[in-house]
Amino acid sequence: MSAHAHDGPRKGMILHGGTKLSDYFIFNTDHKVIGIQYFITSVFFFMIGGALAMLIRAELLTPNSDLGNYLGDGYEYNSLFTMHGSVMIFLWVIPILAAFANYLLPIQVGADDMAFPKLNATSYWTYFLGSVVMMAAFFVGRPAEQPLLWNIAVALVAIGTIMMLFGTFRVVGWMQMVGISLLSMGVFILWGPTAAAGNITILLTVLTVLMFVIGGRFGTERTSAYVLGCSLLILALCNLLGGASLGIPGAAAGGWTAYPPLSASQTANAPDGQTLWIIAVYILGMASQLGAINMIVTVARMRAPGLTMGRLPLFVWTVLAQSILVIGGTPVLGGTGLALLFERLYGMTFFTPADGGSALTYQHLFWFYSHPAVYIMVLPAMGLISEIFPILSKKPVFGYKAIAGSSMGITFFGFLVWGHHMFTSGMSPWLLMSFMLGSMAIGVPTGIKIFNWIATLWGGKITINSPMLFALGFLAMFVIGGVSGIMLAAVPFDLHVHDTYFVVAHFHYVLFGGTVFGVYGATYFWFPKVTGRMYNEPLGIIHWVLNFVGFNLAFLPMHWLGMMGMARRIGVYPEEFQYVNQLSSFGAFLLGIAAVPWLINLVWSAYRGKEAVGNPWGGLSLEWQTSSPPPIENFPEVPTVTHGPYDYGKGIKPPIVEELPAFQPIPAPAAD
Amino acid sequence: MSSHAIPLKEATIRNRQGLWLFFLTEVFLFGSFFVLRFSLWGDTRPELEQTAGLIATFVLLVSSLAMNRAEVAIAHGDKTKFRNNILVTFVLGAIFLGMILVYEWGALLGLHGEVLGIPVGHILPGDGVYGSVLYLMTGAHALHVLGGLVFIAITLFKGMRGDLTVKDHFFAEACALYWHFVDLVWVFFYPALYLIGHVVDIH
Amino acid sequence: MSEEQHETVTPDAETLAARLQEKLTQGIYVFLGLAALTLLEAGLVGSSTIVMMLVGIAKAALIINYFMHISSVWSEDDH
Ligand code: HEM
Ligand SMILES: [Cu+2]
Repeated sequence: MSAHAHDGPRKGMILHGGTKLSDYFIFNTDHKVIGIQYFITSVFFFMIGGALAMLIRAELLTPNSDLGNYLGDGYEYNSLFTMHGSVMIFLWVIPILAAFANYLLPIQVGADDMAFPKLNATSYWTYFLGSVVMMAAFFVGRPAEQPLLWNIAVALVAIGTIMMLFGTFRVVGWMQMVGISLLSMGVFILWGPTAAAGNITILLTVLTVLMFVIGGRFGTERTSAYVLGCSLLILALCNLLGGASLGIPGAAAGGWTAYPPLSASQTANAPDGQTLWIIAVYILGMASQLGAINMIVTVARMRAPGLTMGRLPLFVWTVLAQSILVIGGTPVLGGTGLALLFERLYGMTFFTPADGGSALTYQHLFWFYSHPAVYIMVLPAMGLISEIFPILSKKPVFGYKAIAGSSMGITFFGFLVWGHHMFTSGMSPWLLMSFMLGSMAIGVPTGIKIFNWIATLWGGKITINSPMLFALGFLAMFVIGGVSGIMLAAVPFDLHVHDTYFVVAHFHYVLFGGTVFGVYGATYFWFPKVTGRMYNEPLGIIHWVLNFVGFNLAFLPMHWLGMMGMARRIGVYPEEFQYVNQLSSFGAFLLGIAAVPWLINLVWSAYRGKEAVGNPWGGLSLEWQTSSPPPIENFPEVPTVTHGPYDYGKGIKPPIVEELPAFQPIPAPAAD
Repeated sequence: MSSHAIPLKEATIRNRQGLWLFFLTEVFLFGSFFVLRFSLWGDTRPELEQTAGLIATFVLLVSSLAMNRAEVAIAHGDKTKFRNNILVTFVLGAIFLGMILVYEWGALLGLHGEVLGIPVGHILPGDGVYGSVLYLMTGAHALHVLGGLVFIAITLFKGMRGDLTVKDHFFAEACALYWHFVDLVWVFFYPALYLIGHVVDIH
Repeated sequence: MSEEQHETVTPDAETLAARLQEKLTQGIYVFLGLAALTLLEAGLVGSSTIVMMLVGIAKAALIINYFMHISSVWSEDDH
């Protein structure tokens, strides 16, 4: 890797440890580069997930089936919402938050990088591998029917291999990575998962550990890329040896929850893609876990002098809470997934009642992960807006301890309430009641946050701009999602609306209205920091208006639909629901269009935006005390912290880093 | 990207914390298998070879002791003791792995009758929930043992090459911690598989 | 390895050897405890899950404390 001679931070797309564009395509250990890698990759998948959502809403314009129903049992629609949900959760929301955590957390604690930089890059590339496996599900098993696809696949493998080898030997990073991607796509298209897929999982696990060891301890910057390439080659080999697939083409269609017995069966609604789906989720979980370990150790060991836990920016607290949830929850999903995989492939029995297994056990294990996962998906977004509110209203945050502590409270309670997803699955009345009360109790720490945010805004000098508008949008939308969540926590009500559109409305208010609004706001808020240029304000406000209107038009009516009794996960519905559905679809299309100004803004401003100063908002936390973009070591010298991150009105003058010296390469430390 | 050299002590503390967090994720992974066992078997269990189970457990326990001796030895600069003990650990680990393969996975590997006077395993992964959970738990654990053996081999190699010193032997410490962790998992898997509940006919 | 030299001086060979002996003996005692608990466990075969788990937890505590010296995670000095 080229870690030498910089001529100061060039503003625009080329930054940080990435001195040239190709640095973003390789195994780069700079946390800022990794953050941007996460960002771009997950935005790409957001677009794919969004396109799938548009297809869902197009299908739902009319009560009958428009997309066709070639494979029977509504397979097409089933795979649409399954892949929409899975892509949105595993490839967009979780990694986009990892993008912010990677970029901001080390700077906010005043460190020059993460505790384990190579491990950090390994997590990104593990995520990358997982995303390839997940997307490959769309193609698997098809080639036999389609000679054209077959040829394309073979060509991909050939070109990919050549590019990878060439890139590797001539040390052309981007070529290597592009080669690996092409190769793996080709391999997966050719591949129908076989019983050998189980062996492959084991192999991948071992290889992931190897990546950890080699990449983490002995690695040169490219080592993990080699391992990644090798693992894919071995995958290809396994396939050649593995024989025929189950012979059922198509992507996963068992819902993002993948409940057995359906997901464990080998039917048109649980085709080969379901196998890949399980493997992908396992790999993606691995990536999160490696990331979480890194975050915790970074916060524990690498805080700048004077930066006590009580002076940590609130975003850091939420990432810490999230990491604890990942460490306790994600491995359980991994273990459950392995069991499910073995049941699918080897005729073992865990979850199929007809063979003596217990489907209920799967649900318990799944939700033991997936309830905490909803906090994994929202806590860091709460952290992001906890930064935006005080800084843009120039007031100390109200109840710092309460906000930080409530994150920990949510973490603790988060592990105890999973049963509220299973009220209709059957459990003892005592359990029903305790899960109900627990779920309502978890509203308390969340409420604490909401009231503290409002109190922070109260009487502040509020700057109304794009990040602030989105943060306010978060606040309003999240309250709606939270209130409908409390409604759902009440057993009698849930028995009525379980698995209806009321639930769909609820979690989109939380995930889109909450997390995605927060993320949108954060992209504007930290845009000047990351690129050194200002975003375009009018375009940002257009984005917000379209987004806000489209969002509510799309999802508010779904509450109605649910109360009227329209089930979720159906492509064909009774005619009386049509008008409301059309309203919702119209809103959804508007919401889809709303992403366009955002993308234009990001790309255009990164190259053409006005040059930004180091501290455009007058922030007091550490990321605002360095140049925009920050130098490769984040700070010219180790910073010392003497005050809290939101200590406005105490006479502390936020340094305006307009004149921060352009980044000078830091001289090698003198031998001491 | 950091060009600051991190002091050795600080690096060790970070690595140690990272390793423990990794163990924590593993606890939850094995925990999910544990939950499967109790929810699918309840207070029953299949007929397993008690003698083999007890011997294997002791083999792993002794290997843990040897590993402890190896680690303290290298931490105090005694290379010979280190080598002898870590070799014992390796051999015992391999024996444990072999015993699991023969006495639990025997049927899958096509063995019959007895080996060294103890009947080989007779359960297959397809034998309902009993076979499935048995193979899942022993398999996941055996895979970790296998990884541990590789780790031990590398540690031995590094130790003999002189890479591990009194001051800087985190690699050996990590290896030891990992091996004890593998033993720790077995501390709970052994009663769960062999001892808890009453025997039922699995067919 | 690292050229960073630590301020703590390396103890001389005799102190090291004495300390080593102490640690080795401790290991043996811990092992004996673990072995006894294992035998107890095997003898209790078929008894209640709770009892078994308690014995398991006792063994785990010994391993975590003495073999894995968990306290080194938060104490700054070496074990
Ligand atoms: C672009 C805007 C979006 C639209 C129009 C949209 C629309 C929908 C609709 C209509 C469904 C229900 C399908 C059915 O049950 O038949 C659905 C399901 C779902 N959506 Fe979205 N969605 C959007 C964005 C998101 C985002 C940002 C996330 C997550 C962060 C998300 C996560 C999910 C999940 C998890 C499901 C459940 C899938 C399942 O039932 O297995 N969606 N979406
Ligand atoms: Cu939940």
